[in-house]
Amino acid sequence: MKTLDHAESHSAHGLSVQLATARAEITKFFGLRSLTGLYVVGLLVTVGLGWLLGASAKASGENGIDSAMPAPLIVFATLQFGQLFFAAAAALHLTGEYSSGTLSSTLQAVPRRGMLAGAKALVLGSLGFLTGLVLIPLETLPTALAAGRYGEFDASELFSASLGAGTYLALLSLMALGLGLLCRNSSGALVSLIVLVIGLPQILGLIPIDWVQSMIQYLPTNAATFMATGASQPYGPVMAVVVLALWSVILLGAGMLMLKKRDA
Amino acid sequence: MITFESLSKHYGTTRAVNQLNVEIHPGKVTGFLGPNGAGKSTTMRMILGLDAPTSGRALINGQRYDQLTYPMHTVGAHISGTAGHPGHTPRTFLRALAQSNRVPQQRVEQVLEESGLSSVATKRIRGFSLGMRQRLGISAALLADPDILILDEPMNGLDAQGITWIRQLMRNRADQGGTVFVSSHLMSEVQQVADQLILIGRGELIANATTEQLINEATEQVVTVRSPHVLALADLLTSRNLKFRVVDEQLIEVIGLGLQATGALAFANGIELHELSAAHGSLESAYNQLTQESMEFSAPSVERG
Repeated sequence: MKTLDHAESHSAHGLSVQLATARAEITKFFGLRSLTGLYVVGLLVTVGLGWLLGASAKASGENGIDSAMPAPLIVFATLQFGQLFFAAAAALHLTGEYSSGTLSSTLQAVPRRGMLAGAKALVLGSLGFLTGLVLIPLETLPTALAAGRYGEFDASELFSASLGAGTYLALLSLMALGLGLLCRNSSGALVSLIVLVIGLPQILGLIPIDWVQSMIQYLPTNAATFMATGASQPYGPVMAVVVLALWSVILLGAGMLMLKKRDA
Repeated sequence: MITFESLSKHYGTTRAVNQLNVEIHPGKVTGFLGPNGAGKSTTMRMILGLDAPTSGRALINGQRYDQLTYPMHTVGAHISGTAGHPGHTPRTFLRALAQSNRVPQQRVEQVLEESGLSSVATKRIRGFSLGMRQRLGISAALLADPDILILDEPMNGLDAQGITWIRQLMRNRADQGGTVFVSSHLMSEVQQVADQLILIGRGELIANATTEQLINEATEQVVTVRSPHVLALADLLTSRNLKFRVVDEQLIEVIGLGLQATGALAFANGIELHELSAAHGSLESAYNQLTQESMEFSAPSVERG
């Protein structure tokens, strides 16, 4: 049996607790085949898709259709599809704890709920960032080979696309975590995630009202495109990061409020 | 020590737990008994900060649970049905818990060994029986070697060997000065091991006494009377506002009157008796008697009075 001073020696300050919690979250994430599987499939699918798009760009170009685009940007476009795998993994990392009841164990270990959500956000955000950062250079090689001279790029394009993809996947993971905290179950989180990144841009696109059309520009997927392409219209990359960050702050903030307020 | 101060949890108009004022002391095994739906789990969840009290507080050594740093070193708890994600292995589940509370990793192997789960340490929790999940939950509670153990229905689904293990574990912990708080809806599960018993029904405290006291108080009050004039005796008891239970046309149990007074009452009214005896019930019958009126899902009974 443990003595009291043993417990007191553990009265560490917040950062130390935060790091311990984050470490546990990493263990839990990589301990689940369903989550690592989603990441692997997400990587394979985007790499394959990048190669296809590259080949398609070359074929179009050779047939006189001007579709030349720097390879890193072709690759970034594959994230439109691939993002779902990474975001789903982030949402399921949390909601799996709700459905299995193990959130109670987690909260017994880490009763400060803001701290727990913070650790999950830190881990899932970092994982998303690293994924984007690695995915783009990795995928650019086969895509550039397939696209040939219709996919020519320079180092700065590769760099900004990689950084953009990392930033986007990090912030998207936080949005997914926020949706998971709000829905408290897997199916709700996944459906709302798909609606947010795929459904809304399409549905709103059907509504021929000016302000609705300009609103679409501020959806996460559209903001991501403006960020990666370095567009200046309707807004530039810096503004795009701000828009994405706002989405994450709002969704994650609302989710954390829900976690703090409700009984586990 | 665990302290409840006017602890209450209401869901709308339902009072799941109402005004509990109890202290749970170290060095003892304290049983927490009540029928299904009496509020045991809700109370335990409030200690752990999983559910927020509507009013009042539950404190651990004077602190709220969420004020504890690395709480698993102070309190080890197992709430039924909460141990582990089905896709995790016991080792991953325990390793993550250990990391979150800075518990040395060798404790993971130790508690796996102690709970008899070493051989399935790399199997997914998905395929585990209820008993194995219970063992896993209990091993998680033991992980940081805490002074206070809170176990919610730990014997559910355990085999005989498992029940012996958990009983010995609770006994040893209490003997070494630890606080053990264990819930059950079956008296027989805890009466052998509990020193102190807290009974609740419909969220209200019914009794808080030593196991011995509870047996004595509850059983000495019931007098079994065999008589050919059971109905005459029943009418007599009714007219005096006394409680009783007609068992059959020859047998009646008089509650709360005592052996001598019951005999005297029958004699004074000329009622022939064939048997007059104090029921030496087990704790089980004491428990049934104490909780009968507060049963949330009570079956119709023949009790009158």
